[in-house]
Amino acid sequence: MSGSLAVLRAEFYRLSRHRSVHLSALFIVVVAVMRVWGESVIQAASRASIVQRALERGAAPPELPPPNAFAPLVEGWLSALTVGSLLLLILASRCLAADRESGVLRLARTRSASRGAMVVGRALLGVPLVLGLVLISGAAAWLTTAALFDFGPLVEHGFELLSTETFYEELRRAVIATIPPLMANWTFGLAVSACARSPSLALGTSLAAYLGFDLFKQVLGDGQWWIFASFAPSFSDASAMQEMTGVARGLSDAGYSAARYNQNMLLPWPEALLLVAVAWWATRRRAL
Amino acid sequence: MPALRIESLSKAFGRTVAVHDVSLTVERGQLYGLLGPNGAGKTTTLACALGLLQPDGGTISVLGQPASQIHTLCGKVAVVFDQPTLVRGLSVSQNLAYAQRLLGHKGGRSATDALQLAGIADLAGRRAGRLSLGQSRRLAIARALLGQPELLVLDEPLSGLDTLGVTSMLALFSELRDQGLTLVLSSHRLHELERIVSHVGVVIGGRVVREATLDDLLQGVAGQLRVRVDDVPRARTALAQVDGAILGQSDEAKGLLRLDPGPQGAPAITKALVDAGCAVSAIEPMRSGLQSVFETLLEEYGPHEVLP
Repeated sequence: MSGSLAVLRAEFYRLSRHRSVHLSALFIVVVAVMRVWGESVIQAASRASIVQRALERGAAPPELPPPNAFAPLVEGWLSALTVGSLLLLILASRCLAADRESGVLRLARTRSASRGAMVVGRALLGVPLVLGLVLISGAAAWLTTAALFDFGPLVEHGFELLSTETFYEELRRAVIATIPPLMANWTFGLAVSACARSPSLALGTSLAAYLGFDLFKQVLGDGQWWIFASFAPSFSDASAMQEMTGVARGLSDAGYSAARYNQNMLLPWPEALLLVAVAWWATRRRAL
Repeated sequence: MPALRIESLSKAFGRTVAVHDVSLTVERGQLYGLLGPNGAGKTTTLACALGLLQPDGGTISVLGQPASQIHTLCGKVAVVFDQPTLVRGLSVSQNLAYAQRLLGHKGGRSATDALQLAGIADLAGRRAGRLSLGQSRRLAIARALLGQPELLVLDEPLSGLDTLGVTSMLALFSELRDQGLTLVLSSHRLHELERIVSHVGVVIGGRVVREATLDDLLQGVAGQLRVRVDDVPRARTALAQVDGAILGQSDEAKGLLRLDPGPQGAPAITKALVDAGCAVSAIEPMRSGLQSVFETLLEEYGPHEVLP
């Protein structure tokens, strides 16, 4: 285990100082900010349209409730998570393959790490990366939302559709539900990276699998829910955060059922372990 | 307990046999040169010894541990690979910090000391991707010196270095040996290695064809002649008549033969060959250096062309 922790510490140090990782984090922040800002533009346009229609009818402009922050916050956060999950996959699918090609794995092997430790250490690296992604994207979305919108209960025609407490509770559940599939996503990239002959092949394979599944998962019907990627934020999204966008808009039928939520929380973990085992098996068999 | 012991190592890649029945022993404190032409099996031997390749057969012991358990030695074995294997996106000092974390402890030689020893202390802030090949190699050596290595394995450490770089690197290796480190150098830079190694293993065609101290190895060729003739069997018959001459290996296809001329020296050999009607195109004393030993061994064992 000490070898795995040494690898984890070394890899975390490397990533925390790598310029491409800094740029990726900045990109995630920009996506969150732009999405929230875009939402504010859309809401402003919608409100202006309502006022314009009233004026065209010769009526007095209606009194509109202040724009609500819930939906922009969730949309911004989700957009950043979607981009972030793709970046995580790219990073994971390059790490073992690129390090094997550059010889960095050989260095680790002769210093402190068994082949298993090299894989487990990198798998554990997924924990700070996923948590970092969730926190950075959330912080960027929250700060931008706080600057542009008012937080408060979602009210429509004088009727409170969603209280602040309920929103935060639902948001907490949705964010937590995002973590297991993102971790499995990371280990999927790792497994592809361990099996592929080159970094570019690893990257191409993992992206093709990720986007291919995203495009065709509907074909699987309910079967898609047995695969962790269905729960991860993606471009054809069905994740808990995507459901949360409906909740934030006051849609009564939005959100996972209890059974689906449990599936989301439990299923990705054994799949992630299986993928780590595949990565370990492939790394054991390869010349470094 | 030797620093490195390899017994009957075999490794094949598909149908290609890379090394076959390789055995060698490196005692502690030695500066051991593993020599051989390109593709002879030096790197494969070292990769197996370092647990990077799974051998097909044989046993390997590194500081008393099997090669597969090399990671349990906590950095007592350090390696400089033929490619510098640096993290190009990090600076020189960050590369060392990364390696130090991989090492799992901070004892022994610090990053600052390692940089100074390798002669690149002034490059600490530069990105590894912007270093020249020589500087990259020095950084790889500095990285290997972190902690408390007892066995330092260097695969082609001199390639890509200019003359001054080679000289300072050789001085560094000698200094490290004097500090008690065991060094194994794989190289085909014979003239340079001859200045520092104490023991030599020669790998040709995937086999260790000679393992000896440098002195023993060089003693074997002192005073010998190499003769190139048109008819080797006739030359051998003629030379057998020369008093005191001892015939060595010969290669009929290349028209080469090697011999100790005895007390009468080269003139008697030349006369005997001419009298026998042999066309002599060259007769030259074998230089008593590692290069000539190596060439001799290549002629004797190798399918490869003799190095110029």
